[in-house]
Amino acid sequence: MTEAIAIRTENVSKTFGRGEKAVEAVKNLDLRVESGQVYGFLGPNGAGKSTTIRMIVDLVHPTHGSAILFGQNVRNHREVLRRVSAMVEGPSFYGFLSGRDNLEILSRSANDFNPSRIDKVLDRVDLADSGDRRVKEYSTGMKQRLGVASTLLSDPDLIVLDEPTNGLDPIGIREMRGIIRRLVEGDKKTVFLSSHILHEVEQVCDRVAIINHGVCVQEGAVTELLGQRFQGIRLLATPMEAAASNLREKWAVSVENEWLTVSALAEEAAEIVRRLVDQEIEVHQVVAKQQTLEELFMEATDSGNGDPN
Amino acid sequence: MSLLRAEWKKATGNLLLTGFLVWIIPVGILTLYILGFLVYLVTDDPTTVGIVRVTAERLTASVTGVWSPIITFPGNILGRLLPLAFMAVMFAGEYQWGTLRQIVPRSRRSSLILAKVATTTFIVLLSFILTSLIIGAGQAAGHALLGLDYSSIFAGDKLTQFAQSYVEHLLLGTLSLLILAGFAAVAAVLTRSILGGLLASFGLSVLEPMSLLFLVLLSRLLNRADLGNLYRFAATYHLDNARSWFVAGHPLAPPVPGFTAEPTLVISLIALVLWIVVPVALSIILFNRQDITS
Repeated sequence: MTEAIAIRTENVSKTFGRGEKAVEAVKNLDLRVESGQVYGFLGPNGAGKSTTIRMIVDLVHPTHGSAILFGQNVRNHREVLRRVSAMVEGPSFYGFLSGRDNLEILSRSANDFNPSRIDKVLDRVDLADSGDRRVKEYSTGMKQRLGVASTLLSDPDLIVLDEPTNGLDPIGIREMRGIIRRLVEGDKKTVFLSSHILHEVEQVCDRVAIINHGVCVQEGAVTELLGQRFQGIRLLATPMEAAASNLREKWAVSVENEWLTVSALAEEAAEIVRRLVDQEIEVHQVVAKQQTLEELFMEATDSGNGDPN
Repeated sequence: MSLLRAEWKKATGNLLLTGFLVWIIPVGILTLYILGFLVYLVTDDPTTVGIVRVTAERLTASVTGVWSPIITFPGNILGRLLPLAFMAVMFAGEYQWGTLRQIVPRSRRSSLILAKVATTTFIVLLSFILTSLIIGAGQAAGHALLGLDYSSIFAGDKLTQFAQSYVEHLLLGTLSLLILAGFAAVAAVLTRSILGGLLASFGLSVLEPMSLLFLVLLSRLLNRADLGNLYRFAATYHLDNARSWFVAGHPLAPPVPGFTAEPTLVISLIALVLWIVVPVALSIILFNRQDITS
């Protein structure tokens, strides 16, 4: 049974403290996460990401609004959390116990203990050989992978991963990316992913929301968000000065590290190349310059439009 | 049951914690017995026979005496601290280790508190029972070593009396430990740290029996003898009173001049149940309303 919408937050807000010391961590946030996607949830430190995630899994109670999972309000229907697994703000385990024992405790806490399932998830995250070692002897990467294993214990429909690549080396990050994509493409899960590593988010997520000062400032499919921000054509040509001079007759051109950036539309690329070749200027490379998720993130979070005050 | 097994695994898996705060009691007693036997074997002192030979009454007193540090005043002021420290770490540790954010979405918050209360109480209870067994077995071994007859000391209805007395002490010990678990739960939920949980639960545990001294001081300062009567609300008083009913068949002698209450055994048992229910219920209410931010 998989509903079309895995997560919906309706006008959800959270204020910590009272009076003058009150801090509004999340303000009237509306999110819709469709099933079967990797949904990236981005924002700078203190933006309200973790508070939102905690409200989704009922660790934190909303001041206003509600978090709805698979059509059910989490506060009134906690049983819906049986369909959800979460690793909130990194993995946290009993260091004095082995990885396997930790997973046993988690599965027993959910009244869903199955030893063969534990073996399976340990194997899934390449910890089958280290499952009997105490967690305090694990490296950061191993703890992260054990965290992911813990989210797979109950075969959930929705997996919430808060900074799953923290502390991982590039190989670990790539492995994590593979695990996440397999969860969605192979196992048909929904993954709600919070991460600071924007390059990774860009590669792994179908859709993203950027939150700043507790408010959602950008939301959409990754391809749409980046595609609509076409920023011209970049090209490598020799002689560079002649190329720049020629193109400036029609477009604005800037030069950076031997690359020319032409403020032109994508469909004008052919005309640009033709003009240069006609002038016997050699064109070595032509690429469309698109805004990266990192640039989009910086723009969205630096602009201050996230703060309604 | 599944949650209880999870709690059992957490507790028993933390060898340092349970080793130093729980199992140290039976292991310590066992070590003392072994050392005693070794000393006897080396010295072969004939006066040892007088020390080792026990009557049913002496044996009952030493075996049930295991529970005294947690049920009788004033020994309970310090006697409760070791099991309480174990319970406090078991409750508050979840906050400090950040493990609540893994556990809470998987189970009901009230079930978590109840499972912890039950498991920590059971583990400490087990160590006290084990200590009693070691004392009983140690006495038997001593008799065997010296060639004394052990089985005859339980002639007639002595064994029944021993068993009844033990069960009564076991009941009071269980109630006392459940009260401590309630203190540990409240302290952990309020302070959210191991150190805070330890200090707050120690404070509760020490202040509760010490209320007698405060009340005496206050009654003298204010020249109101009736203030001492407020001690009848203390858990320690009801544990002592229930024990007095069990052992002597009458209520506890007035602990301070002017103390007029003489609660029956049933009243004391009800009071003790309230001392368990109120802190546990309070911790559940607070925990249910709490934002888990650690």
